[in-house]
Amino acid sequence: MDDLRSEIRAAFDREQTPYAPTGALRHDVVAGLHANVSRAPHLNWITVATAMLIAVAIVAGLMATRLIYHPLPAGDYGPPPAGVPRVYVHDPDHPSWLTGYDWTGKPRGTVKLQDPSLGAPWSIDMAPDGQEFYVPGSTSRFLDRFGQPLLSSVGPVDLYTGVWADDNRHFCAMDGQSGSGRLIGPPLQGYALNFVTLPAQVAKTTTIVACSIRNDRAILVSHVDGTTASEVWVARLSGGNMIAHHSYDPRLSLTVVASSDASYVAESSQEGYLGVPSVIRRVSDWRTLASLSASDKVLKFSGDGSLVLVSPTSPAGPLPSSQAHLAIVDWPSGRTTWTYDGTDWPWTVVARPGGRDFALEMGQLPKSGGPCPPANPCVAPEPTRIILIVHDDGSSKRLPSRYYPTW
Amino acid sequence: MQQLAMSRSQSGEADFDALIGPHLEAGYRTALAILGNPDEAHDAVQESAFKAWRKLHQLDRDRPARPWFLAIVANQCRSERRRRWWSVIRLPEVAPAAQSQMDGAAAIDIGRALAKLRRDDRLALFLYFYLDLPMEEVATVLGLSPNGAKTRVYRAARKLRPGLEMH
Repeated sequence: MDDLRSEIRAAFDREQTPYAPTGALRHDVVAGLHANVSRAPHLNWITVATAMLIAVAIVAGLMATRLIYHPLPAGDYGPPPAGVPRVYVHDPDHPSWLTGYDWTGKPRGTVKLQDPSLGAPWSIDMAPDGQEFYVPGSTSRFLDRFGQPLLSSVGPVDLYTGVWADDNRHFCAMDGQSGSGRLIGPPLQGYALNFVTLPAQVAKTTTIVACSIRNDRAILVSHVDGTTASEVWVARLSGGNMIAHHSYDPRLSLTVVASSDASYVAESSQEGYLGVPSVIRRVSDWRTLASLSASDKVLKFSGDGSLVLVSPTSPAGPLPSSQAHLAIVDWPSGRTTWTYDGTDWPWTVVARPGGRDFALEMGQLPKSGGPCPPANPCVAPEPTRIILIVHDDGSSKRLPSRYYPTW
Repeated sequence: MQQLAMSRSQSGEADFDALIGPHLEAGYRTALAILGNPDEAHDAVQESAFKAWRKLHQLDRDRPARPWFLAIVANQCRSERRRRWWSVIRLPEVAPAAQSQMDGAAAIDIGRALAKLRRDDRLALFLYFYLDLPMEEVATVLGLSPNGAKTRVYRAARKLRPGLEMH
């Protein structure tokens, strides 16, 4: 070991000896510090100033390019960016243009539909995350976030019998002719197009209220008199087998809504004066997790399932009052996060996927007759509606104009 | 105000000189061992000294300043080599073997073997065998634990002399 040390030392010595440090090294280095200290801030300042000038030049260049060569017409917010959740409304001035607003209420892109017929209200349905669109019809079509065709699926499917699946890429709806629940969209290994078939008479009054690829589960609700729930089925999406069935007394006049992941259902009586409390159940064991006031009719779960939008029913009787009352309730705690009292009623609502925000379409009631139930395609009494984005902290933002929504 | 700043600066230089000045020669030799060029080594030490000056407040005064400064030098030399991509093909300017007191053939063998070592292995041997740094300080310069530094030195030495036992 000592020999090796000597040899290594000698080898390094041969490298070092010809270039031994000068005696002035220490003096030179220490004296050089002062010059460096004086120099450094000056260089830093020049570097920062140069970087700022370059940045300003780049920004000015980009702005000039955009302004000079690509003028955007009013209402055109450019191609929708990927991955930004949006809600889409028809542009009032260009009905076949869809304006995407993010959940803070800022415009974040415009979809220019090639097919002018899609400019008609209720002809196109956005995915809850705003990344795709579904066009119902004898041939159902999916469009990408730019409005370009993705795929089509043959089959008469009524938009209003179904919901978007929680992957935001498939649509689940009833096929009125075959009586089947359908999973429409790109093929999924292990899943069939028709995942369940009901007797024809029952299927005609059945809607799918939740469709979860994540939990491999769909919730179907049959009705009497159009709106009163009579039966609930829970079906396995992949195998198509029924895994639960529940019946209701039609006299209770219940409505049933479900969370998007099909984990919870809310049962509410449409007649608050009956005194039947609204309840929230866990689908897996049908256990009641929370009870709300009998006068709170649950309209919608938030995307994460923790909030419910409720519309208090009139305790005096089944007819609506002229005033609308809305609230958002954190049902596990019972805390109310938002309330609304006004003359505009909720027509349709979409929940931010996985989140706790809602976008509400609000408008006046028809002059005669009762209110159309939310998400019911009754004829609009006025051409466009107010869009209100409500956040879980109780704040809300109204979009700048009046629109037809695409949800 | 300007005068006050100047006096602080001068005071700092004196402090720095007292703390780091004695290790500048070791820094230069380390830089020379890594870069193989005296001018570059001088520049590297100058730049390292300036960095050390700016980082002086980070130095734990209870610990030795030498490995702290040599670590800055070693990092500066690594940056310098990365910056000058062509330096990877430069050969160290090894002095002629005729100056050696040792047997000529053996000296050339060791010199060649050292030149072929990876830079970090070569640096480990230089610090331990040439600068006689204790293993703890070698570890600080290399950014390793003492055991890791010992292993590095041992493995590098074995590359020069297979079969070596080290204690």
